[in-house]
Amino acid sequence: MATSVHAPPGPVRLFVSEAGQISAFAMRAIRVAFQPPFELREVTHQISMAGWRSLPLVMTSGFAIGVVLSMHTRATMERFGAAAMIPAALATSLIAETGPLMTGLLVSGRVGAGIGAELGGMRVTEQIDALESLAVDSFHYLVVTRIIACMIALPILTTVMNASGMIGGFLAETAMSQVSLRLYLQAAFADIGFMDYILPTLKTVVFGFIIGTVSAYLGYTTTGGSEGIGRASTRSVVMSSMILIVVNVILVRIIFLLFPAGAL
Amino acid sequence: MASTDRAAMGAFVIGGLLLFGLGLFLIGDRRMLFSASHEYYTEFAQVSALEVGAKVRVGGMNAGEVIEIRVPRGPKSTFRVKFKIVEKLFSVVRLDSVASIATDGLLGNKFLLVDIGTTTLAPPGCTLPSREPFEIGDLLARIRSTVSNIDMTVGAVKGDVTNATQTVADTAKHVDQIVVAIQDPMDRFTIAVSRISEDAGAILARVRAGEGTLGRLVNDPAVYNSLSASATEVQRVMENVGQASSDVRALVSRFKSGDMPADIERTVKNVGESSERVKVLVSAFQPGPGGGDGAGADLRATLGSAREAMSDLAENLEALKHSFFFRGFFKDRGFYDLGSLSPVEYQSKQFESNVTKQRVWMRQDELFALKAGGGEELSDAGKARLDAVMANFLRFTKDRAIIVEGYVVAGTLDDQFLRSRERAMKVRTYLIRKFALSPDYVGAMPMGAVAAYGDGVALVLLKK
Repeated sequence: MATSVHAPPGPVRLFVSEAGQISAFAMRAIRVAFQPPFELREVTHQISMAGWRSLPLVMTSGFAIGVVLSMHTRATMERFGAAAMIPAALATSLIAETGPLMTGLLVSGRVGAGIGAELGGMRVTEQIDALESLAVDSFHYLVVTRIIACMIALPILTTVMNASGMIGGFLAETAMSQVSLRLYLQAAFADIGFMDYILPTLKTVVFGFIIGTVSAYLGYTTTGGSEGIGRASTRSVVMSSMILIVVNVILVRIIFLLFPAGAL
Repeated sequence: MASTDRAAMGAFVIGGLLLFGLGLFLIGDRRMLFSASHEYYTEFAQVSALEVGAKVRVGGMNAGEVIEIRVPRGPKSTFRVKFKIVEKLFSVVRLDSVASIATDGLLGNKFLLVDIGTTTLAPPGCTLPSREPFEIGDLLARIRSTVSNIDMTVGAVKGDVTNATQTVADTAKHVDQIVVAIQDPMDRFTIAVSRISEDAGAILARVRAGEGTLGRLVNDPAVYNSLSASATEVQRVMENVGQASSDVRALVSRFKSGDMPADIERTVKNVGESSERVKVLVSAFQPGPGGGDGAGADLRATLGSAREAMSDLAENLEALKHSFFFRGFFKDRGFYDLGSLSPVEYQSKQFESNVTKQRVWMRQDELFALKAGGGEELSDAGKARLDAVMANFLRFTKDRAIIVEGYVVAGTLDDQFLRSRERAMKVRTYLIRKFALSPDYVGAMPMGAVAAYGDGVALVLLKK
């Protein structure tokens, strides 16, 4: 009789339970974010950590993606005699989907893992408890600042990713067809509207919120010593990436519904 | 550390915003948001998937975008499309500029194409004329209809081809029957032609070998030299006789006048010498004592042979003209045997079918004047008239024949025939002398007894 009361929860219940806890954590972060103190110094520091130091990774990845996309697009377009449309296809692909999603996944891997490990370490070593004992709102100071930093850094990193991809695509394209930069840019932006550019970029604000929230939750609630830190770091990357990909589908659908003409 | 973070954060944010703003600028520039523009309208029965924001091109150049597409209120109304065009292209947008919906490439986006106009400038806000879009579905429907028509046509032609093939087969069968039927006559005809050819070859070989009168005349230089020397001698004797006669006439004249010439003796002597030379010459033409015929007999014989040879040659040539092989050759060159061609035959359909006639008619009073002793002769005005007509014929006379047709109205039939031939011959003679024409190319045809177009002459240029 007693065994049925204390039986371990199943995977579905665990998933639903954790989803609820993350949602509560996110709601708390949103609520606290609008309450002083705003911890701008820490936000600045976290933007520097999440954004500035992610630039090499994002720029390199973006450049490589641009080159690869250009080559793949050329191989396809040339079959239809539409080589002139390669810049437009490359720009559309990068700005609409590839740039935001790849930036989110890269930041999830680098920053999300860092946040999970850092906060997990602070939890395990009772540094968070120490801050609390000093009357410092650890949630406000450690969690909200990181979420805000991710939300600010992601759109900027996405823009950098898009620009790097366009440069890489141009270099690959001019190596193949000697196209000029002016013609390349004119062709690239020929079929892109404002909404095609702004909405996918702003979409990454949500990605930043997801990365910051999931990573901070997993680190902030870490248990089990150093093993728990590693688990929190790994789960931060996996969970934030999965949620990010799923949410991306939902966001694209919402954009299509709200802006049918300009949505991609 | 904190200042480094702030600098990094500042550079990161500012740089990112600038990059984002650059993207916005490029998009705005492509959308021509930074150029002055005005709005225009056009209307379509169907917009063919044209959307708001679609490009507008004027003469193929990007000029703006579609701003609004207003849905029609009823089935009889049209879609009203509002679009903008940048200021730099205003000068080519005219009231007759036609707007149409086109596709960018085969699978590209729809865009609004505005043609370059020719009339007055289109003011901003005006409605431009439109041309309804062309749909692939319409094209496929037309292609289907065309293929159906082609199929029906091919079916119809197939029946005709079958009938034509049957007709050709029947014709071939008939031709085969005809060939079989004429085989025997053709064989006989071929044998006759072969015999004629052999005879002609034998004749020419004998002539070439110097046999017969014609052969000797052609090939023996001694006969020619003897004839030439005799003629020269006769000419010299006759000159001497003329001189002597002149002298005698002068002597008689002086004797009648009572003035006795002092050199009468010398004159009588000259007469005597001339008489001796004449005697020698005449004796040369007399038969010799040895029974020879003498030079006169030889000359008579030679001239007789020559006359006979020329007669034979004329007959041979006449035969060749009528020969199967040579008739076409002579006809092509214009050697129509007008001497044996009657006016009726000349006007026959058979003759007409082989040639075309270019005829110039001239009245009698234009060409002829009455002579004092009766009869007619070509007047100066008539010669000028003939010259004018021949001016148009001369460029054809090398390989073409000219027939002079004579016409006479008055008189009996025989009189008409004779007088018309006389007129034709006079004109023919004049033309041959005046324009150095070959007599073989110019014929005279008396037409007076057959047809009377009037009193006069007609020049006819025969063409194949």
